[in-house]
Amino acid sequence: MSGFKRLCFSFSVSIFLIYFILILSLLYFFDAQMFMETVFSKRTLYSIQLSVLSACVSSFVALIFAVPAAYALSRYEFFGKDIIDTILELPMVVSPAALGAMLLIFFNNPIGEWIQENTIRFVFSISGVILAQFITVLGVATRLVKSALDEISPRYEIVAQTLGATPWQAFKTVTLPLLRNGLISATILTWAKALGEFGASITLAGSMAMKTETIPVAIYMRLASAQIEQSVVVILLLISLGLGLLYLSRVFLKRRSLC
Amino acid sequence: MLKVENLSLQKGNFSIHDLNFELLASKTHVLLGPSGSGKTLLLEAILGMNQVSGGTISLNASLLNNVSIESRSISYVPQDLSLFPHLNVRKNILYPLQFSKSKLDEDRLSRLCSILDIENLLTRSIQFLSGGEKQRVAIARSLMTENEVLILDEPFSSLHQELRQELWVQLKQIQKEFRLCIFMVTHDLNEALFLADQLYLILDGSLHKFSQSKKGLVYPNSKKALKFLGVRNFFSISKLDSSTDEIEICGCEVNLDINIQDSMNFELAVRSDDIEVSVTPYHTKESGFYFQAKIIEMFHMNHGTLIHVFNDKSSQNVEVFVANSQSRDLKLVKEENYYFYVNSNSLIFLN
Repeated sequence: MSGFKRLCFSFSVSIFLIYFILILSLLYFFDAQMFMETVFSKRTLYSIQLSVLSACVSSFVALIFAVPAAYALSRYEFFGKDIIDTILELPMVVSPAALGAMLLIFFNNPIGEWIQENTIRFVFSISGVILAQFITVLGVATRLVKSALDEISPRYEIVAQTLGATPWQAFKTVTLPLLRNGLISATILTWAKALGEFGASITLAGSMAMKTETIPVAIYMRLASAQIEQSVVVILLLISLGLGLLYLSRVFLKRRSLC
Repeated sequence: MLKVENLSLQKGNFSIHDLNFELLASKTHVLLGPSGSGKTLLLEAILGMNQVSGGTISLNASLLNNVSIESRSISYVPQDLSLFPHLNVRKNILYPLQFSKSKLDEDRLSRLCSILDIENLLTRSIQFLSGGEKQRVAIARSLMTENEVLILDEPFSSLHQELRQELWVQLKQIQKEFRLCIFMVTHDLNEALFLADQLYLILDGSLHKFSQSKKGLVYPNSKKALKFLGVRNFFSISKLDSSTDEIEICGCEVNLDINIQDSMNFELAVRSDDIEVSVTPYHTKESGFYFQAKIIEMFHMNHGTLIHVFNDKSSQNVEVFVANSQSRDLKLVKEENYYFYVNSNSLIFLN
């Protein structure tokens, strides 16, 4: 193995070790009896249910926005494209807590208040959890779908059109099937990010147990009340859910590409 | 059939102005041109991918300017072929049928597959095809639309010579059998000469039309165009006397016995392979001229030797291509003087 290869390899192993040691250190406070009690407690089961469902809804809605928006950003030149492209990074450059605060401030101005009173109540409600997750993952979802679209030559669609397809038919019969793996990856990553969202959710929806307490909020609340063993159990649950799904999707996509 | 009139195009800083030409039914038209000359821009305008800034494009007298790509009835094979990787060969070829009212024409499909020799590939995945097989499948797919016009953008540029020639023959056969009007872009002059009924050269956004006759190419009247077509030798000529056709070329006073243009000063061009070499002066009855020059460089190539010679009297460098059969007899030696003969029929006059 050359020196350069060894150096790069050792960095990749060190990344694994950093995270692995962090996960391993959780075992110091692991209590098997507490594990069963915490996992099967009503409060934890509710948090899991709320996190999984809200992540599903928010990532689904985010992808409905992301696919056409990413297509426009990838395929067309238009005024303001660079501004939109830059604003996609907003959830990454602004802290999630700030995003949550921005949402809270919005719902305290006249337009926000009108929305709250006449449509759906977002502040301190499950809808707020979903909205906070949606706002946080929207930019990521669009960026991921755009990256996948950028790798598909627009010439496929042009050729499809010369073969008689309308732009929509060309997208449906050529681009969408070619986008499948990218879209699956984007969906899973968006879902995983929504699942782990904390700052915006707690700021907008609060941390009410059995109401707006998602898994990340549950971890924070247990840690804040010095229930370290219980926090460890919920952290392990979140890691298993997130990483497990990502790993399975990776295996699934690899298998599909080999077929 | 497809008529382009006063066409103007603009993309970034590049523009094309007032292009006029007509593609005829059942003929192959080849467009030559260097990179960045506007070939692809022109094709994209005909296909409807780029808006034209002026002029008209019409197909069978119907104006196409505002017609969408899918409604233009023009088939297209791009340089990268763009075969759909998620579909197998058969599904790629039959792709256009899902948007057409006509049903699958089994005869057309089997005839196309037979000429293109792809009958055994129909169930194969696109990823496992060779370059030549992909070309054939892309052509077959484009022809399932039953459009009369086919546009090919450098379709054979990535293939080796033997395979290219095989595909030229197949394309010619398809063009005749399906009576196609083909408009093809290429860099390869041999490919153009093999396939074309009509040749076009695009340079700096302007179009030069030229053709081939039994005697050879009828060149466009442009030095830049000639240079692109491989003509390397240019002679500035002055008539010695306005009342005669006597001229001075390479230091020799000659009368070419042909109608020389009225102007006193003009240019002549000669292809490198139209100059003959001899160790003794020429005494031929044919019209032409010869000059003496010294070989200054020799480059051995596959079919012959390319030599650069220098004529002392006119201080002119001339490039000559000597075929292998001739160079073996002559035993050419660098720094030696030889005689070089140019037949009048080989001269290209430039204004």
